[in-house]
Amino acid sequence: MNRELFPALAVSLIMTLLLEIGFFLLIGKRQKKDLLLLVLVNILTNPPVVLLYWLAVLYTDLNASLIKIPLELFAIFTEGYLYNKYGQNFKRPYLFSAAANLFSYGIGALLQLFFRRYGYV
Amino acid sequence: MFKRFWIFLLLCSLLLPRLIASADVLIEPNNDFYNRQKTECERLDRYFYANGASGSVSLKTEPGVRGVLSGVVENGEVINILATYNYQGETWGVTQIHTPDTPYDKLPNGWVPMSQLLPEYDSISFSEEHQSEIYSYAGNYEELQAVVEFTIWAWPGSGIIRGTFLTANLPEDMDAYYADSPAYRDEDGREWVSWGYMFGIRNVWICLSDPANDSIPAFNPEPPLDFHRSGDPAAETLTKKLSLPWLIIILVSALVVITFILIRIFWKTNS
Repeated sequence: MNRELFPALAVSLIMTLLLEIGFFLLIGKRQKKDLLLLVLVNILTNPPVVLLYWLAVLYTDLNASLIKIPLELFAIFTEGYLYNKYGQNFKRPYLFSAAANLFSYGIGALLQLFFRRYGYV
Repeated sequence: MFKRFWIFLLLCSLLLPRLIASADVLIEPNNDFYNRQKTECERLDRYFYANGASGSVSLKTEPGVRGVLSGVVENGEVINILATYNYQGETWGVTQIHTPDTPYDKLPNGWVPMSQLLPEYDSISFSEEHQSEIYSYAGNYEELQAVVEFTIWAWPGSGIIRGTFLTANLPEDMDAYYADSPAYRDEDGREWVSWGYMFGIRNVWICLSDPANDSIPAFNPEPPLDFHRSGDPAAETLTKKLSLPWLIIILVSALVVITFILIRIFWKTNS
């Protein structure tokens, strides 16, 4: 299973980074140090969140959708806290974190749906 | 009056396929890959034991490494492989796991390499094992028609009763209908015949020599199977001997710690 979870974690992290970096630039932010912080913060939160999700799905009877909600909230608050504590130019760090996570989650879900439906994945 | 009649007729026409279909329902997995590749899949509908090298098998949403995990089945658990698909030279099977009170579209399903499964001993296994002893039945069914009710078995000598049926429900021309069915004579001289499909049950055996007897001893029980166990020395690599995700848990934890230390070192806290 390690061989199967590794690609799932890697793909999830790469997609999240691409989308959140995209969101960061999309809203006009350009500070390099804040961008690097965003990358590290997502490396900090994304793999454990994805891993916890898969462990819960595979080893418990919990509803997959219900598992996602607390995990996403955990990611949002942790990232918001780190942006607030270490960010140079995050005026509303928690709002940024929530918006970035919603953006990456939403676009990611749409992409996954598209690729699966048309057999590219 | 006429309007009500046409509405009634419409309702009946909507119900009719369901009434017909309820007689023999062909279960198909609710799986996107299966639905896309249905014409390339072969129906199987056979039970297998999970037998992964690491103590379990992982179900994927589709065959191949790009498939996302959709479940885990521990070795020794039985799953029904509904269909198979040849993916780059390897045969994969799709299963749908039925859990009580779960709607059909929420049932967990997934694909697994057939090489990680062991077939549950069944009529097909028996037929393969006794291939040289099985012949084409050329007789009639007088002994069967002489009883009111007969017993159907999983295979000769299995000790597993699949059900009992009334002879009156059999086709009138059963000699022709069941002509040339596979037959087998056991060591005690009892003659058995196999029917491929009967009232929703597949691959059944009837003891023609004693059709009503439901106490025929299990002289040919299911052979014991040896499953891979977690930590089995036969496992291929050291990482597989670990309880499955521990390696990843350790690596992810290390990544989190290192990343947090980097942030603490290179970023000043805001006042």
